[in-house]
Amino acid sequence: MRRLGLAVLLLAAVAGSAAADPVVERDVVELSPVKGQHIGKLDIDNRLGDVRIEGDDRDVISIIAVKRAPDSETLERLKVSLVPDPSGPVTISTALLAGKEARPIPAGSVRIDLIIKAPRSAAVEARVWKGRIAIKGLDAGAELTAVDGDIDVEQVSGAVSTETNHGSHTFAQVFGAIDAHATEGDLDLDVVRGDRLAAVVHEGHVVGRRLRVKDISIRVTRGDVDIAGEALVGGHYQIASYWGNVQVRLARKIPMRIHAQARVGLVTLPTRFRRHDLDGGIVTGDTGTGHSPADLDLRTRVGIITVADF
Amino acid sequence: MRCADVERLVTEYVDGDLDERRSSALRGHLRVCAACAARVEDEVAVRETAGSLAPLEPPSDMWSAIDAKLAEAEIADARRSRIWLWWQRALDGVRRHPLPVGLCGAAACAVIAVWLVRGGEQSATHPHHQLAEVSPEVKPSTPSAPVESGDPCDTVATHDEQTLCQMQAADRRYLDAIAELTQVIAEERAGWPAAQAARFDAAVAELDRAAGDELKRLAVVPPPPAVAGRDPLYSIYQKKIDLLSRAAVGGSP
Repeated sequence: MRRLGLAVLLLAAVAGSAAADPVVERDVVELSPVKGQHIGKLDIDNRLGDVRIEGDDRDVISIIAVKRAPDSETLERLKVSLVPDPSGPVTISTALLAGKEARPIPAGSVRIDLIIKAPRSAAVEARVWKGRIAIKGLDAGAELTAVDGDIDVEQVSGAVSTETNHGSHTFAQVFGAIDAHATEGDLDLDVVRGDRLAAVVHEGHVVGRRLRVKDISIRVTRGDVDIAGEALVGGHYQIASYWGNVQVRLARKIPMRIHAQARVGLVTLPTRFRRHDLDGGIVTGDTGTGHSPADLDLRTRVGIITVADF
Repeated sequence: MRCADVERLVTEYVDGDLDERRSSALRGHLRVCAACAARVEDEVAVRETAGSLAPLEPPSDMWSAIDAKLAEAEIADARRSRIWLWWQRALDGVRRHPLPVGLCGAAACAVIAVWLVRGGEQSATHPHHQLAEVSPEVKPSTPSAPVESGDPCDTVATHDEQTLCQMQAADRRYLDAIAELTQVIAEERAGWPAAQAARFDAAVAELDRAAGDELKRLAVVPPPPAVAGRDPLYSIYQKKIDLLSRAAVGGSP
């Protein structure tokens, strides 16, 4: 009798601990296009967690959805839907369906993370709420929005547009046009080639290395900008921080014109520039001779502007 | 006058800055103290040697380097928070009026000491308060509270409350950015051409109208909060930040 009592207690303890642990489910789905067609676009809407997309050589979409919930009933309410449209994009979305009872779900206890493999040639559009978006190895660009979370873009070609309200952006080995917006968050760029790089950051630092872009426009309200790369013949480079330092390091010595304004601060140029100091903290300079010099327009209200060779 | 006084006054004496009465006393001491006389002679010799050296020209880039460092330091000071400025102002006040500030500080210390003593007496008369604090029976009211992450939205109880909190945080970040840029523009726009200012104002008004319409639509959406419903509003806020940033930071309204 005593042993039976102990066994019941043990079972109750096991059941109790199991009930306290979250329930995790891992679903795997694979979708092949109809014969003769290919997957041109992927539209992902996951407001319940992270999204990771990797380009694949096969013309197939595979999705791994990892769901977490406090109990199996709530887990049943977590849904991932996949809608292939023969004439349009493949849409993947997640949802927490309404429950039959009014029992509230504990905060932070439900989550869906998506890991997707998609054809490299597919354009991607992805939106998350509080989560991270990471894409890698895609050739047709992407449009990514994270309200509260980081965005990582690696080995991607084509036009890439990103937007975060709160979170950092990382671009590595991107070949194409970049359009990045961040209300609060840093922007890091490494090995970027393309026609255009536009970034608007309200609060955060912008760091760029090994950039080779024809037109750059970077505006930061509060934060420093540090850009290193090659200026191209006929290129336009507008870099401004209202409240921060602007540093530009140039690798190639091509004909160049500079208009720099540091209203409360200093402007430093390499000695090879013919420098003219004007009123209002404006400095103009030029170097080299030839048609289509690169234009640099550098501004800061409070900060130091430095142009250097390396 | 003693030897220690000579040591203290020797620089002023050699520089000729010492008043006549103390100079006379110092000279009188030197007549009777060989060690101090030697000390003063040494000081005079050093001055004469230094005066005979050719002036040293600083390197041409020294002043620009100093100027750059100075600008960097001043800009760093300019970026400090308002709290730092208030603290500097308070320190300045202390330096200017040490006596009244010292008296106020002493009075405040006395008040705190009295309060601490009385608090100690009260807790001694109510020992059960202290027992309750250390009792092992006392348990936290929310044993499954989430781990501290610094995000205030992680401390709410339910998923819906958390979503609502995150929406409010996102709204606040957009609106704070818009308010800050608007303030910058208010300072900058004095130099704008009238036509450009009018075009800018019209564009801002258009976005404000669109945001207002969107907020009206969201106000009648029944709970629970749907985050996707805020996409159009956030798109408008982002457009407004772009517009304001171009005018405030880029310098072209």
